[in-house]
Amino acid sequence: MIRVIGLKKSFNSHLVLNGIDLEVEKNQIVSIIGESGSGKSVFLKLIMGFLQPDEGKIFINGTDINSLDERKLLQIRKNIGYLFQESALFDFMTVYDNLAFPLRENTDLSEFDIKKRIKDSLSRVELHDVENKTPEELSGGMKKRIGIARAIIMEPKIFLCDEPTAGLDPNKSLSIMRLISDLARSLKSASIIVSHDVSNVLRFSDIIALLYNGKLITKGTKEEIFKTNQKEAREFLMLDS
Amino acid sequence: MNFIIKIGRYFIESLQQLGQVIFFIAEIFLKFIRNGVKINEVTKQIFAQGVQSIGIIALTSLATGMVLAIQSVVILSRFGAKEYIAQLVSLSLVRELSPVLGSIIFAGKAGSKMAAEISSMKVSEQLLATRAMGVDPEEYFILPRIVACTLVLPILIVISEILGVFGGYVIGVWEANVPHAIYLHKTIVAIRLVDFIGGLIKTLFFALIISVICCFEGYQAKGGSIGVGEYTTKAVALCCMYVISFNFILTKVILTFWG
Ligand SMILES: Nc1ncnc2c1ncn2[C@@H]1O[C@H](COP(=O)(O)OP(=O)(O)OP(=O)(O)O)[C@@H](O)[C@H]1O
Ligand SMILES: [Mg+2]
Repeated sequence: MIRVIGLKKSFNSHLVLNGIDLEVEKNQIVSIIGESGSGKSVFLKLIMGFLQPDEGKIFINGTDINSLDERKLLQIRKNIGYLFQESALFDFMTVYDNLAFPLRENTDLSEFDIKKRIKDSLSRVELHDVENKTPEELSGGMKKRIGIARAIIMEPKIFLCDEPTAGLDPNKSLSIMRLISDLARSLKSASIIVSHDVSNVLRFSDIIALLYNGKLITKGTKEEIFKTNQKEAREFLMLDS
Repeated sequence: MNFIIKIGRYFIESLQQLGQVIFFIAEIFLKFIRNGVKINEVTKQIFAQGVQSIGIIALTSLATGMVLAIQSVVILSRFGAKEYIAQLVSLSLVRELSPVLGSIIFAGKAGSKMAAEISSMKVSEQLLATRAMGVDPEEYFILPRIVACTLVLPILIVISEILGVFGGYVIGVWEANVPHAIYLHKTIVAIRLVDFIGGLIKTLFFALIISVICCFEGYQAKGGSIGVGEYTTKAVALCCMYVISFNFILTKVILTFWG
């Protein structure tokens, strides 16, 4: 569903991504781990078409997205759920209106059905009685959950998560990651999770890749990753300690 | 030498900015032509912008009309032309003061809010999130604000003109002892259609200038919450500058074609 070939991106003279190849199938969770500033968010933004690559191609369902204009990209994005690193909820809207936004704009659902859908997705992220709150009144973890609920409310075939567990305590991180993986499995979507939360990523992903110096230096299943003899990978994953 | 380079660079940057603004306007205009505008959002914005600034515009208009009348009494008395106070006050207000002052106050109140809202959405990636959900932020957030502004500002300015004239009337009748029927009659006779329409045409341009600048600057914002402050301040400063400069140009044009 997602295919990335030889992706390169630099800002001014600062090379961030230096040739990334990646493929994500339906019903597969691929995680990219890498330290802060390694270009994880940039990678997801390239896939969304928010940024233009310097070189390389990105295919979504076989369509080369860099050949599309913004109007066509908007159509493609309707099938992608994107969890922002800082949630990026509309802070002048209630939680209810935040969740209703994509439904009202992109579907013909009646307000009654929208209400049902919102109730349903809130219970899927295990939140109750928050409909009338504004994002300001929510904790970081709750915002993340609302962000997830908003990302999946259109039941996307592609699910991209930017640092779902950043800034959360270990327990919350675990439950958020479990939630994301459950949702991704139930939607059978092609999912990419970028994170530096190694332990959770190892636990919930099918494929793990390590982004280092602009390249994916190791890529494989958990078992394969553990056997890697790449020095930087072993260090980052703390396999030897 | 350094100085010349600086000026040159500033000049080039200004040209670039101008190009971007023109591109921005063209893009928004095309979207307006192609897809129309979200009436719901326009209505919300009309109320937001109108309610927000009507109080302060009303107050300043009243005060301006009164000050104008007080000064006119003093000045016109020197030339023994006190009876012209009604004409002077109402024409000054309708042709110049209400459109210009009202627009500047509107820029400070509703314009700054527009810029702050858009820029804070920009820096907190809410605009990106909008695009991520398949919705065009220019169509959803920018266009309705611009349309609402061009609808609501002329209305506010007409209200401002009425209140300003009323302020002048209060002073004229109570301070300068002009009989109130005569004051009213002179006011009504003095204001010709060209004065009123000319003022409104200018207002329409000011509304476009204000809303485009505030949305554009908000859209350009970067650098976190500090950036929001910076771009908002810059937007309002630019609005004041452009409203006043364009007022000169527009006045000249209107007087040339329709003196
Ligand atoms: N719009 C931009 N303009 C210039 N440089 C950018 C831009 N976006 C990202 N960068 C640079 O690209 C690099 C990678 O940034 P990115 O946000 O992808 O890191 P990250 O891996 O997501 O880090 P974190 O874990 O802290 O979120 C950084 O050095 C950043 O300064
Ligand atoms: Mg990031």
